[in-house]
Amino acid sequence: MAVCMALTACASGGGDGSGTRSAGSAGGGEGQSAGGAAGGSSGGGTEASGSNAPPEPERKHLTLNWFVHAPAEAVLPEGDADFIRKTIEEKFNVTLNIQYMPTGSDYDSKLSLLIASGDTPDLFVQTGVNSQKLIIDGITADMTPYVTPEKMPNYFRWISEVELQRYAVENKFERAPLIFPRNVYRSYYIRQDWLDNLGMKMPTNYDEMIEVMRAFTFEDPDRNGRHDTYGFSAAGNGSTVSWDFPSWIRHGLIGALMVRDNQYIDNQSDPAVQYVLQDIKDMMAEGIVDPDWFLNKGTEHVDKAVGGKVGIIVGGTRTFAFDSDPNSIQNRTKALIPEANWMPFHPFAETGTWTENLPDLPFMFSRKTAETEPEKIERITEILDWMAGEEGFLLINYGLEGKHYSRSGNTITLTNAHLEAQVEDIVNQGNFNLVYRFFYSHNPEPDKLGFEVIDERMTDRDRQIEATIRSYKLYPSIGTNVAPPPGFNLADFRAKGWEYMAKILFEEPDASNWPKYREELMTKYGGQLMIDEYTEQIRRAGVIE
Amino acid sequence: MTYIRYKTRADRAVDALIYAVLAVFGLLTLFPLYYVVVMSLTPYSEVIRNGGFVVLPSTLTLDAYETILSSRVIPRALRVTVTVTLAGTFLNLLVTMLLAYPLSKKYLPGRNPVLLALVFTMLFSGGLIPLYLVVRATGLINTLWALIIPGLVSTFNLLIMKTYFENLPAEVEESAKVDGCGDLQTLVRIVLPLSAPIMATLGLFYGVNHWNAYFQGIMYLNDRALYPLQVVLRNMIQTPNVSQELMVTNPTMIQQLPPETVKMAAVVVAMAPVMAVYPFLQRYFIKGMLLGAIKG
Amino acid sequence: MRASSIPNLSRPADGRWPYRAARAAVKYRWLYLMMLPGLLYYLIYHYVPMAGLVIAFKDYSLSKGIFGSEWVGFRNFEIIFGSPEFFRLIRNTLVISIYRILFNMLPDVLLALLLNEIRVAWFKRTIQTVTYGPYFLSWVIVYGLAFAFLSQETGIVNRLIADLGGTPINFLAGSEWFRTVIITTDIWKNTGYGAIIYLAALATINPELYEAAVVDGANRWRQMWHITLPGIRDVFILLLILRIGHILDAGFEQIYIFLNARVYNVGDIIDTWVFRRGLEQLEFSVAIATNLFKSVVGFILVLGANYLAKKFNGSGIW
Repeated sequence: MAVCMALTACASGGGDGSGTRSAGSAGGGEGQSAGGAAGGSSGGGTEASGSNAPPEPERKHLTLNWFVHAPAEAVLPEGDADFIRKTIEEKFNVTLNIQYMPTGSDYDSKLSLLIASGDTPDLFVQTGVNSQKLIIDGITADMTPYVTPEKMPNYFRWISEVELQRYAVENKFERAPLIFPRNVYRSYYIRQDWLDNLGMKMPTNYDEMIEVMRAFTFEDPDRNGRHDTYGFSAAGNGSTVSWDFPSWIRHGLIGALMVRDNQYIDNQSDPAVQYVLQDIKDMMAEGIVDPDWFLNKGTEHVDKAVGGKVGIIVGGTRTFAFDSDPNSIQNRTKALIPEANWMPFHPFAETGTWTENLPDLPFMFSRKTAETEPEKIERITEILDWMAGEEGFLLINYGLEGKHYSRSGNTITLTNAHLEAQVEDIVNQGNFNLVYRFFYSHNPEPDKLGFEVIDERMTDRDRQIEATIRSYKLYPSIGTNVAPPPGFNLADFRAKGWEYMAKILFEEPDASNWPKYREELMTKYGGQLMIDEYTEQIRRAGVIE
Repeated sequence: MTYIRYKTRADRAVDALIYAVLAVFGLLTLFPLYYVVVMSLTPYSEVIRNGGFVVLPSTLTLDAYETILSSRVIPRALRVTVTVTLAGTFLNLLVTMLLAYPLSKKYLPGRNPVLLALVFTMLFSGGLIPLYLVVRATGLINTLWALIIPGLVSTFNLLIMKTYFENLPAEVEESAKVDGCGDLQTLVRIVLPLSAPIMATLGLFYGVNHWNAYFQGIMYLNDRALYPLQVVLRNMIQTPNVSQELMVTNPTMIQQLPPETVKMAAVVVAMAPVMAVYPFLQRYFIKGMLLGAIKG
Repeated sequence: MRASSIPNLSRPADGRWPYRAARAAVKYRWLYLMMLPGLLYYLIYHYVPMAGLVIAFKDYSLSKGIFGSEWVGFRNFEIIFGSPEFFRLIRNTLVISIYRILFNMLPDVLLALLLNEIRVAWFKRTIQTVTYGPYFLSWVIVYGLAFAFLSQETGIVNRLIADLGGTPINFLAGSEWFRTVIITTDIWKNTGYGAIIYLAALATINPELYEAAVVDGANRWRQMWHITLPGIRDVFILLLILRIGHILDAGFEQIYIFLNARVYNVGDIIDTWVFRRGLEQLEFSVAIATNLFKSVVGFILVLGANYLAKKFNGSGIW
């Protein structure tokens, strides 16, 4: 039957003529032709990426299987459109089979299936807690012979050896952090034009911020004759009390996990939560917060801000309100309300707006591969190190020199022409570079390599925004990653905590029951055990006495 | 339908009531479809301005559809899904029928234990990992067969078909046997033509299942060229499930979703083919085929 | 072709067991042969993987595999039953399932019966098609719609109530209404689809029965009682038994989308609890153990329901 023919044709992999992309089975795609001009594709400029030996043509050709996170819109194209893959494959004499998915339960399931069936990818990424389980189960390879400053000098420009040590699990060095952003761009953003309409000044502390929220709600800041605006909104996703509320920091709870006075503080279950909840209840009672904030999912609160319904919102990325980012809240709002102007501020800019970033997601190698084909791991570390170096970094994040950016010394310049070329060659081909950016936690920072990036689209306003946010003081991180004690039911503990917080917020007259609820969380749900365990881990890492 | 020789006033009143109730329910269920279609044709700016809910847009635009259909992966995924749906449904019905017919014979020795064993599988399952290992061991991974074989027979549908066969009048088959037909011939020549309603119904069930298949695609397929439609669409429009702990420590992990209008266009693209097919299948819910068989 | 060498006893059921089996195999050989592909399928893709149920009694480790992992007896079950939420989870699961059985089966039947009374073909086809639509909308979209209508501050229904002078009702985030919203949206989404099977059954009722009834002077209600309803009885019983067997599956997909921390008390079910655990930590044994627990309970209930069905209806599944 004709249909069955079609099926078998599909079964033999591919479906069109180019080299197969199928991963996971033992015999991966071979015979990918190296293509014509081998030398032309890699970015010009310096070759000083610090790799061990220059690629020798007699090196054995290897097939590598990777499994990494990538945002949903990223798709690796077929054929030669993916110049990053081409460069890597030619330079390192490999065939690269990358499987990629967004983070989430499907990712966990798929990776687990691959591991359970013995097809563990050579290189893979998982979340912090899950990686611990994989290490304990013996899936991962020892990284000591591979991830060293001698073999991966570029990588260690980003991650320090101390951080690597603290990142180990049970003293086994079997996972290493992905390069992660050091800058924190979390800030409040406010409708400057509303402030102007009301003749008010930018708030500089908590009380002024509340005053402004009141004004935004009751004094018709958009001058449209209707009471349809709120001071503030956030997204609770139906369960959490959003960190966006300024009340958290007001009562000394900065970030999600913090250390204070040589003690680990679990912000979500701290005694001070009582005051936070009371503050929020007061805000809700006054009506200055979007009443649907709790059920807002994902970025729905931002949509409301874009629609002109909210005056203050939290943004977490650098270009959140830039003129030069087409998807920024600034541009989206201006499309509907041309006079809108979002400017950053923070009531706690001088005492601590958020915690510094910690190494977050790790990458790991397959133990099986390390035992049977260690040269593959070697090759992967070379590739990763190249990605951490200037050449790889520029290729992945910007593109081909000359076409997508121009460089003089350490200054990278992006003109409009460059950006258009980027859209045509990269974005329209499936945004494929986003897959390779997993190595930078999807948030690359060129200044760490000493680059200065000049984006022609950036306006003075953008620069002002960036400068303001950079001036915020950050609270130190807890210094090391922590793991819950074995057998501890983290999910139940957190779920119950949120349940109680929701109860206090919506069903009780005040927050006075929190100490009682907290007691239950600490004892019946084992919270105290977790806090003690974390404190001990932090102490062992040498962060506190 | 019930036959009434002539209608009394009460009968007519009941008729009117029935029509009214159905009309109301029809409107209630029509509304979300209307909403989805309208949203997919409304310019995004208007949606935002009205707080996400537009009943009658001022202008119509095909932008959202352009975004969806210009994606290079959609046509390919569509081909995959259509192929799998057609081939899969055919095989589903075939094997299910071959299994249901003998099981509908109460005199068949071993019938009850087998039925018990099959119903058992509806309730007991070893889970994702063992099934994946079996699928892998039988060489289906990364082939489109993985979307068909592991779900070849749905016990639920099997039981329905069996019940249907059981309710066919015995005379029909007996007369066939008298004429000298064997079991297989009886099935193909007599029973099958009488089974149009059930084949249409179960064909619909199996077909829709194939059309909506998402999870099997993700788990069994590595080669993105084989991804069925739903996987591709969901990748575009849905936030993946991320643990709360992760969301709390990683606030920027929430990805920016495409506008509501694009999501709605994706839904329409996914739904439209099936909704278009259904009215044609309704033709097969005709009674009277039975009548013809007995008289003939 | 008859094998004439076999002793020619009058009925295949006479004689000792192996002979009976052999004779049956020959007499019904075509029927048995027909079943072969299907049975093979079940064996390979359902029974072989069932060996994985042992994971419920082990501490599954990805590297050691199913058979190499450590045996822990009932520890996984202790984790489940020992959770402080366990009682609440079971209660919510059962209550919601029973609600679904009580309230969601009848609208399907009703819709089919009503459609069956329609003579105007275009109207019938239109309603059938339209009511079928919501089945295809994912719960995410249905939730979005429900939110647009029912949210406490901005929902259309509540704004209407406020305009008429009442106080807005918290439909989505309050314990009083949560289960009602779940059941109602389920009815609305699935009735059209669920009616299909009854429509097919109705289509196969012999029209001669109706004609005879009319001759006997039966009005529409008597016809319905004596002809129509018995025609769908078997299907209804079948569906009922199956639902009872799945009573510990309270509709995870829908509940997960609608759930929020304010309604955990009435809405958190076994499956959402297991899923949350799975998201926070990679853990298979507890999930499999939960499934095993649900399966055993469901199976016992199916056996019981089938027995009752045979007693009162004359036939069940087997």
